[in-house]
Amino acid sequence: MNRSTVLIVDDNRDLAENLGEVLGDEGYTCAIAYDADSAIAQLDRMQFDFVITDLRMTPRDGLAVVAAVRRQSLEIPIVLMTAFAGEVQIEIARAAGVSEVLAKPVDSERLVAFVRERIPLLRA
Amino acid sequence: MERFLDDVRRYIGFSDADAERLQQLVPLFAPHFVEVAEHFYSCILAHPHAHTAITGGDAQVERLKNSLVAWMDSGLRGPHDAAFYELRARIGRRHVAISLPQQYMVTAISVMRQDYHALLEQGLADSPADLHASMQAVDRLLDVELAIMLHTYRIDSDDHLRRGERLATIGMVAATIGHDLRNPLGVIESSAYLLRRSIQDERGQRHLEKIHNQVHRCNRIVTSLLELARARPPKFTLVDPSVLFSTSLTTLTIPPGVRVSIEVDDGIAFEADSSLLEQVVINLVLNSIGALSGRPGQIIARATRHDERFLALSVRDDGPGFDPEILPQVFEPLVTTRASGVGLGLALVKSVVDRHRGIATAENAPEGGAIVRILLPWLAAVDGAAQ
Repeated sequence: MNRSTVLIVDDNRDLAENLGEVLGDEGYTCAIAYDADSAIAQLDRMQFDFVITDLRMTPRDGLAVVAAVRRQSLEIPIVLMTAFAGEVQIEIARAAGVSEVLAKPVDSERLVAFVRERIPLLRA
Repeated sequence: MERFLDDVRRYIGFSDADAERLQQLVPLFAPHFVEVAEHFYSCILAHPHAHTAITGGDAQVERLKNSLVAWMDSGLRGPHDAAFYELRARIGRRHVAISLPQQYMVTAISVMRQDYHALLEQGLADSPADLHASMQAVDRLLDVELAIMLHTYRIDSDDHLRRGERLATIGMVAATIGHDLRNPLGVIESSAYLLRRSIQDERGQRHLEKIHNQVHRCNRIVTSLLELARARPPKFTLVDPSVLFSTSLTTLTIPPGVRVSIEVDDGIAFEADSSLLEQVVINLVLNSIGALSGRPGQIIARATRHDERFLALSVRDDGPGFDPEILPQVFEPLVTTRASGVGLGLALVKSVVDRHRGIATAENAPEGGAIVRILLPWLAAVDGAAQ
């Protein structure tokens, strides 16, 4: 059986790498992208079990990643991380198919618990 | 200030002869001062918005009546000098502070004018010439009083607006900085988390724990900044003060030696935005913790029934209290008593309370320590508390 896969997208490289390490330590296989376009390119190559993406990125924002994931599947949990979102933005994100919005700085312990709750470590 | 007084006296035609005449009227008016004050406040209290100005109940109304009597006395007796001006100016400023529209001053003076006229008509019925001149002197005096109040009202209201604009600018800058700080905070938090898992020794763990706690503290400051800048309208639900207090306290680390107690009257649920009010409680308790600065002490969070309209929330501590010098401005942003504080906590408290159409006051307890008291309406305003 393979390990479950997580795609992490954030234009803050240190943050993306750290979250990759945090979830990697838990046993998940993590891929990292630093912008929406390269995240979408990775999504074209494979399907992930879980996606975590930042909202505010250029040239395209996190919602572009969300749309690409949702074209593949309606089931994959997507977490949107944001440093500060108004209610309207949160509503838009939910309408676009985001499963959960987490405020930055995301507490690592909470993130681990959150991912564990939603996907098993090993793929069925 | 003196120049304004001179100008307005000249413009209205308030002469030394008028002043002299008014002085002679003191014996006629003085026995009726209390009556006039009673009438004056019965008119004010009959107004549906009176409660925004008068929140202290009967005791406050009694105090106000006494100062009105002193005010009438000083107006008639003179001298119409700097002290006279200052007392009237204070009323104008007070009205701006409690956002009372200026037409109330006009109405109030008009009530007083009617009573003065009635007294003159009774007392000087026998000498029409005297009556006419006295009427004129009284009218001029009240016009001068009103002009001073309206003048200071305008100056203060302009200041208020400018401060508002400055705040909005500070808010925008702060929001941008706050937003940009959250990413590095996320990196620090996750790096500390990863290190905690790989560093085994007790000393390393202790320091990582400190980093973790300080990241949370920074994040709370950022949250306050962003909340202050955004000033989002409240979402009203029924709030139980006991739940509000306990939820807020669970997010805080209470230092050893500090005792926090909660006292809540039975059956006092009210309509408010619970997450905004949590920010309020957290900030007030954090302020008290900061004021105790490592010493043992006690913090009391209390929710009581204030009156028909308001519920009262208060947080008090037995620390050194507010610096009396800054007490009048504690709710302004960037004003702080502590060397380590940024001075956003109480500004955020005020902003949230304003959005709930409540009233926030800060004072020092006679026996020492600081008290912040918040009056919140039981029910959300029907016309939208968000303005």
